[in-house]
Amino acid sequence: MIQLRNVTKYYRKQRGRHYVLRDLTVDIPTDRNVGILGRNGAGKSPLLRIIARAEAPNRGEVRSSARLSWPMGFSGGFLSSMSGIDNIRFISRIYGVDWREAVDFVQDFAELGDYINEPIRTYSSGMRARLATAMSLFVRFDCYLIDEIPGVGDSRFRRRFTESFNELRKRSTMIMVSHNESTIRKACEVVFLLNNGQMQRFDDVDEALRLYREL
Amino acid sequence: MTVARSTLADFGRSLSVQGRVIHALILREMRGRYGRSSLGYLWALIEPLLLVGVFTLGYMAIGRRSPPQGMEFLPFLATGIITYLSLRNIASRMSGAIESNRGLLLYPHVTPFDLMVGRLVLEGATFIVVFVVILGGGVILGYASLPDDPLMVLLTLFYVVLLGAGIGMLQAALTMNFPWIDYFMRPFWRLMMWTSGIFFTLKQLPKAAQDILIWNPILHVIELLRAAYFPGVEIYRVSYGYVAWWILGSAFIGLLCERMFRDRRKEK
Repeated sequence: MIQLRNVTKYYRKQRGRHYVLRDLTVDIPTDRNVGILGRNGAGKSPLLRIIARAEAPNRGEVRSSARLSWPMGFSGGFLSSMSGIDNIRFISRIYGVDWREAVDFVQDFAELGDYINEPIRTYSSGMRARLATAMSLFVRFDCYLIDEIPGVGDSRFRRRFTESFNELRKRSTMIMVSHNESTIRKACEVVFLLNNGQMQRFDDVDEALRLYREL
Repeated sequence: MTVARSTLADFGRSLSVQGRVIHALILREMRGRYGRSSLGYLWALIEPLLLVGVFTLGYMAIGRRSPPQGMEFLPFLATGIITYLSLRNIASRMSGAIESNRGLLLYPHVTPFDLMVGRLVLEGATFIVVFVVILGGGVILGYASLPDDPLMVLLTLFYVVLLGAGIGMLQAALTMNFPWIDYFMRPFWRLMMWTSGIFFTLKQLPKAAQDILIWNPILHVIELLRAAYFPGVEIYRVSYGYVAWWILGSAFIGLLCERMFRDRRKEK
């Protein structure tokens, strides 16, 4: 369970503050797959970063009893001047896992080949996503925080990803942020609608999607 | 009781996480700074070695009067040049730590503070190693005698690292909020090069000049280092206490700015 208590988050813009979360108090379950729907700019990504504790809210508190992944998406997480292998080493060290095993696992899963010794900046976005996915699967989290589905890579990778994700779902869950209705419908049991800095919970996914369309 | 114990356990756990993060950051910075080959570490030695060598030979060649109070050329210049270069490196590397590692802030237990500490430890260790290697080399080649008070020299070197940490945090806080300050850093350090007592001692100067330069904490640490190194040199007008105020003051302001503007940074 992730508990947000009176969380407020704003960014300073040229003209005053832009609020993305306003005095938000909500409990997000971590024993089921959760989808967070919101329009572009509704603050889905900041919310995910706040849940992940990658970013502090301006006010309020975030508590969590589960081991959460870092927010996974296309941006950030790797240092582009460092090689894939050096990034794997770094992540392994901060999470306290064996980096040699991590490299073997990532190579087997993401099939980066010789690129693993090249700087990340030479990677395609698909390769980056594969590396991030493989690495996060290796570290093993209770709950994965996913910024849009990693729908990248060729069909072979997607198949492997789905396989390992189904395997994963036996012991882990995910919180997925998206504005794609079909990914949410396929994967999630609970949906939150993020709108005007507030979150509304729906246990009926279809009802949430209906309301989302009306936003 | 149980509350106290669990808080203590929590504290221990966060401490070990922090240790793991800083360890990982130091290893990552070593890669970034020195590359993959072990030869890369030599680069850290080359700049100070070159400067110390050129100035020592230059001074000796033009037959300039020896430094005062029985100091030898090489250790006199080395204490000044290496200390100055390292302070400049520590400060600039620390203030650039966040910009070049922004991607790593995505991991929940990596904080901007960790990024700066990682670089501080690496640059500080480099400073002490470079100092020992160059002066050790000087001793072996007969250009320098052993330090008068080795323990005090070592303590003063740590003091220099702390001063670097303070200046680094201050510089980081300032450039983060006022990017234009970056343009003034180069002339600032150039000015420091000529006002920190690298090529002279405070005592040699007229009273009026002394009264101005005495404000400069870098001059203090260089003079203190020489007083610890050379048997005939007494501490003159400088003090560890004065530098301590600088260390505490700049660290305080730096950390305060970090806290105040924490949320502003991640928007970019």
